[in-house]
Amino acid sequence: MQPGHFMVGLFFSLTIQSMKEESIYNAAEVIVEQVNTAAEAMKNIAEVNEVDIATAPKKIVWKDGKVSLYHFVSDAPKKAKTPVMISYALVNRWEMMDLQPDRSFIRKMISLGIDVYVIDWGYPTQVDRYKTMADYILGNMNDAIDFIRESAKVDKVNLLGVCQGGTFSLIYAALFPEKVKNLITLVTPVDFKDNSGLLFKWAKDMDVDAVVDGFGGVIPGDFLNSGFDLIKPMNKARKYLSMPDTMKDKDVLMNFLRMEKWVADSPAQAGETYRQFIKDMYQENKLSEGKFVLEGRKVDLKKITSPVLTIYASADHIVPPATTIPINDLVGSKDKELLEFPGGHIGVFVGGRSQSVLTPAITDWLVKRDN
Amino acid sequence: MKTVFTDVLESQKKAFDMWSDLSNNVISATTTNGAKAFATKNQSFLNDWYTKQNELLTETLNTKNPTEAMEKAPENFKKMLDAQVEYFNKWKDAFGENATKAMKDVPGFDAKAYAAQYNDGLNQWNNWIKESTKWMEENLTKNIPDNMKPAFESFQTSYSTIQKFWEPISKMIEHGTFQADFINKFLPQDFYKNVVDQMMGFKLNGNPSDMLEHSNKLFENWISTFQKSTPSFEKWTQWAEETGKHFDLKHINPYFSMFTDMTSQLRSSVEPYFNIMDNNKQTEIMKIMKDIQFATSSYIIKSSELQGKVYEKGRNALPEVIKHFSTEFSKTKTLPQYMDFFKKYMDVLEKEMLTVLDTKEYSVLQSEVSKLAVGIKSKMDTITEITLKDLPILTKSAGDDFSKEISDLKRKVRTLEQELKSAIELLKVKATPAAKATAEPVVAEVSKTKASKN
Repeated sequence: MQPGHFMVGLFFSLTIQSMKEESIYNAAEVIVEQVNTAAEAMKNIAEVNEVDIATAPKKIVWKDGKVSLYHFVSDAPKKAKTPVMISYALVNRWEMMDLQPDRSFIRKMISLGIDVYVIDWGYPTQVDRYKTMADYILGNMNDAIDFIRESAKVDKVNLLGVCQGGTFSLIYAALFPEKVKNLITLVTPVDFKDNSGLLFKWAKDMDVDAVVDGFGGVIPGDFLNSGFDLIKPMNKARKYLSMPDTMKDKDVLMNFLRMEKWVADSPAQAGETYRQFIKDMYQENKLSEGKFVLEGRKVDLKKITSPVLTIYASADHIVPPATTIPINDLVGSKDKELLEFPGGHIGVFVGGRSQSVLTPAITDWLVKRDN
Repeated sequence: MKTVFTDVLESQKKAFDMWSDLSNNVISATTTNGAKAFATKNQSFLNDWYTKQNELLTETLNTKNPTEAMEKAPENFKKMLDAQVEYFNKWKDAFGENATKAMKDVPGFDAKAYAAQYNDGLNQWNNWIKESTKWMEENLTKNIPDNMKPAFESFQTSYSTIQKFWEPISKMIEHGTFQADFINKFLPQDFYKNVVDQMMGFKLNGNPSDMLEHSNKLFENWISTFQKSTPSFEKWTQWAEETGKHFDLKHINPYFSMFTDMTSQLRSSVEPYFNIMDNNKQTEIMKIMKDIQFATSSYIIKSSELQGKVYEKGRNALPEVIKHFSTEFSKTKTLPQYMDFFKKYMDVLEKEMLTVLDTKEYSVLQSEVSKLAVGIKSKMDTITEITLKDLPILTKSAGDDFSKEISDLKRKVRTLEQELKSAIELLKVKATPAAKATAEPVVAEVSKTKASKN
């Protein structure tokens, strides 16, 4: 198929070769409309110079190898003295939380007076193949949190973990309760025995040793993405089918391109971390059953006594609610809350409701617990 | 430089030329053929029409900026149409019932010819639209990351594959013929398979027996050449190219793409060193090639089995969708737009596929396919290792040893740092004013370690 045919078919299904006299003017009106649409789309595309994401002002304040800590710059008056450190998943990139200026989870939090840091796990390569979960959690995460404690002159920080980064945050908070003031988990899996999500089902049958060793110790990002794609096999087709409408509106077009950029930017994973996460979490459900051990230290979620806010997305097909909700029962905290977000896994960060409802709710929750 | 905009402007120019010529013809015919009353009475609006066309043409051709040209295109087209309508109305008012008769004197301006001319004009715009859309897609694709393009291309192909059969499908909707047997008579045998392949990104999509045969032939050929002597660089390249051609699986779902990676990786890693390879390595490599041959056959069989399960379920989707729209048609007597049909087909196909993807059988099979594919890749790595052995080049395993050492050392440093931190904390708690003075240099030491680490 030659490029261009699909678009022509979608925009301009009208054929005028055998038009009758009386329908000429009607047809012409349709064409005027189509020319309008096309011209608008072309103008929008012609104006795309750069697809930029993660534009909120920030600076790197700490670095260890490929891992960096960003501190977001803000003039907004602080409503809470305790900073928040965001820990995103190793799969895909944290930029989802600052995808576009008008729908940025991070910008919104900053504007509401929260001091925000993000730990960026970087792009592991062959040299990182032996990096373990302990290296991430006991090493990078702990060092970054110590840095924040020292620079912000606080004993404890607020920890906000997203997806796999939320599982890491739960482990961290259980091992270092003295350093975590409040814990928020967003779409975070903890109970992996549930099979309502296809990833959870497939991971149980995966020969993870063969996969890690076969890939030579580093799992390509595209391999991981293909798993996500298969969960909803037609999602990409649906997205492309809406392309003509997408192109008509400059903002929608830019959002589409930003999302494409984010999806494409999928880091590889350190093989040993992947092996351990699949085995201990997906296949043996050790964390929620109290059997998970990290470098000789048993992780007991009951040791988490700080306030905990557990947020799950009702239509999340990547991390289904059933895998997240048990956090609320597993932690030892007295002050704990379960919050349902009506939407999917990604909608939590970029949807309209994320801006108008979720981020303000998180901020309020934190401010109330900032004493 | 000639761009799509040059063509667009050319196309517009032709359209306007046509209308201008026609305008001249009208004036000329009505004045020279003795229809003086017509000419006198209507000279003003004909001239007006002619002037408007020319102004429009000039304005369009003077627009040099592409974005501006795009912005003005609809406006100009609308102006052109408005001028036509204005002219037509005035002409009709002026001539009333004798209009058609009078126009007989105007060459190329009888009603039928007028419609044809008008259609030509619209066709020019249609061409403009097609050219512009092509430009649009090319420029949009430029902004899509490379690893997202295959999915878009796959989608385009599936969209057009189904569209080719839209006519018989719409007849089936109209006549309520949604039985699978009947539908299958009108569609090629591999219709479902092609659509599922395109939508799922399956590309290992030949006949399994043929693929097996071909694959075995390639391996046997290579092994027999290798047994005789170390193949030359050219022979190796030839074999790799042949293999690559048969399994040209670029741009596919990575679950199924590892075989492609394998051949390309093998070729790119080994090629430069092949002609300096030691003959003693032959036996070792041949043994691995035999393993790879076996693994490849298993991979082909398992992949085909996996895909077969999805094809089988995918066949249910089309009859269900045709039935759905037939029921709608019987109520409304309106056929759906192709786009709506395609959307519905995607939904139903996904629903059917998910019933397969959600089974234990699929999950196990998928794992086996992945294992085989990465296993082949791993064996290819081993061949590369053997080829590079004894050469002054860092091999992957040597690099891995190095990585392991780095990781172990980092871990040791981390543990020591944390022990030191705890010790300092403890000292701080227990410190007396006198003891505090001795603790300070330790803190400075820690900062130094940290700084060098960063």
